[in-house]
Amino acid sequence: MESKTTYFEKPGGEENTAMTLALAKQRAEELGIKTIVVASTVGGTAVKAVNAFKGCKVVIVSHVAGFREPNTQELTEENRKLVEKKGGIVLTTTHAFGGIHRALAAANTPPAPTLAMGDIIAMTLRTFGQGMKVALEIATMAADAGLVRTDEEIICIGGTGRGADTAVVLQPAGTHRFFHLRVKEIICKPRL
Amino acid sequence: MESKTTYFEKPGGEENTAMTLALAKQRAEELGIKTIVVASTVGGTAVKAVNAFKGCKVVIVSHVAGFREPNTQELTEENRKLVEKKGGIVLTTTHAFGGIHRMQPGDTVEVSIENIGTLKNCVVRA
Repeated sequence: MESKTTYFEKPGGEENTAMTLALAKQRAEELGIKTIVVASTVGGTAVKAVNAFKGCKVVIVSHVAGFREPNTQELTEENRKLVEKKGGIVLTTTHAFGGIHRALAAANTPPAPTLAMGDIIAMTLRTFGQGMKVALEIATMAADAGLVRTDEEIICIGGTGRGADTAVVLQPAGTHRFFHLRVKEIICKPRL
Repeated sequence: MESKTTYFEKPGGEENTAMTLALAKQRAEELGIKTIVVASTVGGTAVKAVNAFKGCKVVIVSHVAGFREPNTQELTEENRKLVEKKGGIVLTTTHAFGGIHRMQPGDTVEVSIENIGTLKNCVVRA
């Protein structure tokens, strides 16, 4: 089977976001996929996604609470309302790859990668781009939350910083069975 | 930029090999890539690869020596000669992902410190 893969010149950005959502929508329709998991920090991509994927179950995965500073959430209330109004589900939970071991990092500094398994998985996946790491991580978080099945194909969308630049078709797995996750197709990614 | 990606129905197999080499050759030509690294155990894929990628630097990476049993190499001498005759380079070395941590139950690990002594442990299955 042949399928088109789109490679963006650079990671991130508004244009890549629009293109990523359009390409993912097209592939979802071709494959009959009805579940879409999308990473969104502030919520801009989330709002675009719920508008793009009407009729689908759209799970928006935010940053964990307190990611930037304690007791804050980067996803704005305004965007959360817009997402939920359109039927989107917002999932805020522990990051699958950067969990409790991050507590070992010195306070007030960005956590450096360690030899912890989650960091090794994350660094390995970043060889495909940050968006690929995010796409697989949010699939696992959504599976742990019971929002996606692990025996059905879904589309996961991640990005680099703001926006989206990577979309994949995958069969998810929860953290305890992470290595059962299967990436079926790469719809788009930055060529790095 | 758009590019065609080919997905095979099943992993492995003769047909996938031929198709993989043909697709890689086409893409190498499009991108002007002249260096190709190919994994090959017995050497069948290696021979096909050196024939397919004429004019390129072709590096064939075999299994580490002793992978299946001690003091053996799965890449046949016949295939090695065919590869080298065509200018292919055979690399046999430690597997990058499966190295020193792959000890087997029954293996003995000796740690010696000068003037202190030697600690000998037998690896058992956990």
